[in-house]
Amino acid sequence: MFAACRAPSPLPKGAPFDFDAAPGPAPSAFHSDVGLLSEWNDARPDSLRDFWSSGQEGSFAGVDGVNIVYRVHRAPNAKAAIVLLPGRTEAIIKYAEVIRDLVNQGYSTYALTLRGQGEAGRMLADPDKGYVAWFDDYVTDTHRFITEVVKPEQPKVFMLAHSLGGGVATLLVDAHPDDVQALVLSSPMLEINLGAFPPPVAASLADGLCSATDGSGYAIGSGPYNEETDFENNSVTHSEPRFKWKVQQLRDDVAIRAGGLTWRWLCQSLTASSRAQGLGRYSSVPTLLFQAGADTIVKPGGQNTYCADAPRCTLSSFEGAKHELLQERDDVRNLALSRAVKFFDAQVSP
Amino acid sequence: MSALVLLLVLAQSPAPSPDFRLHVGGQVGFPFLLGVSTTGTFFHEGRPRFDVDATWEPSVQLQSYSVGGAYHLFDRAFFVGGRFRLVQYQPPWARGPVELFFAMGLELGARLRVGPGDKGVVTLALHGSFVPGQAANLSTLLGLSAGFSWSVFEK
Repeated sequence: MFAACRAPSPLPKGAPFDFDAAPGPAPSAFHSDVGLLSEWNDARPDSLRDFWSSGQEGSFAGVDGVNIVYRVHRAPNAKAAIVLLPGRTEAIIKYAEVIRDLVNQGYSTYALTLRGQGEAGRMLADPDKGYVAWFDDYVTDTHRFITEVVKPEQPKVFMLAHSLGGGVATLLVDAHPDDVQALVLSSPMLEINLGAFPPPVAASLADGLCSATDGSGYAIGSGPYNEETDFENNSVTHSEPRFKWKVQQLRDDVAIRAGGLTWRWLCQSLTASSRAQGLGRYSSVPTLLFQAGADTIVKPGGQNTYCADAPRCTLSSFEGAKHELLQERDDVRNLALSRAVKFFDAQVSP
Repeated sequence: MSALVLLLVLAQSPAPSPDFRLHVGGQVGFPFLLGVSTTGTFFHEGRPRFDVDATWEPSVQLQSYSVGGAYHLFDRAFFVGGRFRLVQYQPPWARGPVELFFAMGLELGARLRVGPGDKGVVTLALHGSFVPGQAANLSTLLGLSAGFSWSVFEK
């Protein structure tokens, strides 16, 4: 079916969300990266590790029986539920700080690992390989999580999704518009940065190899998990404490490591992200899209297209910030969280 | 190399030829791996001038359904052509939406007539397709193909 046959959202383009006028927490209300590692390692009462341990872990069998792991942190008298969708290679534990901040703001959090990443099951014998059979499986797993785990506890559901999770979220709200009532996208994967390869070459190569093989081989430039220790040249954050904390998490638990991407993942993700960036016009869900100014993982073009087309989307840019806005330096991360919570608060009683 | 020269010589040799021939054949290529096609060739004074074809290129990933037209420069083997495609970036059995995209493209190549009565045709082609409905990362596909077809009808 041709995509152009669908009718767009009937809503007119709304005004951008006004963060200055909206009530809500200031950036200073959120956790600082100062002393992050020692707080995690000390495990003293009321520490981040102590908070993390208070969460309830669960799992279910996703599409094709792949084990999908989630973690719930309930806030007393929660305003709403926030479903947290991490990005590629990310485990839920990486979001412990974010989860604590959101719970402190009165939201219960329901964090899900996407198949093939973090704590979730793998689809290939080699757990390092970044693989997915069909991109839609991410969407199906997430929809099932919301309908079977989240909604029975919290009828009002918001979503905070990063990178790959952001791409999944845009497809989810298109396929299941009633699943979430508000969406915050952090550096959503709506246009992959293909690096040195011109897109026509990369697309032709990837689609050709996926047509010729099962796509389970590593794509050019990818390979098994390789510990990243060079903070200065890392491409995702300016926060050294958060970078070092991530490195430690991956040393402490080898099961949550994920390596490079396969051709299959690339083909599926190119097709899905290309489709996703054109779905804004069909969305009526209030959406806040965070864009990192110095992002080298995804390109801004797809994000701009999605948000310009979506009637209720506000684009919020962070000049000079790297890809992982929620793991960035305090000045970026906490501003992003402040804006996200203000936006969610406004949707609690719109 | 010598085989290619021989093919080119054979292709240039004038041979008794009808005004029209219909060929059916198959091809291999990249990123469209396999294809089957039917090609009609219009001759002028015994040499090919125009081709039109309908081609189906299925795979476990990319799908293409296309019609193409080609003009043989100076009525020789080399041609320039255009192609209109319907492309799917997922197979019909994919989970989730499978969308169909219109594409148009250019082709450069050669069709060499070979075999008894020049009834066989060897085709070598380079092609580029623009897919206006796709986002930037997937809006252009580049490729090549090689095929062989055989005349099944002539007039």
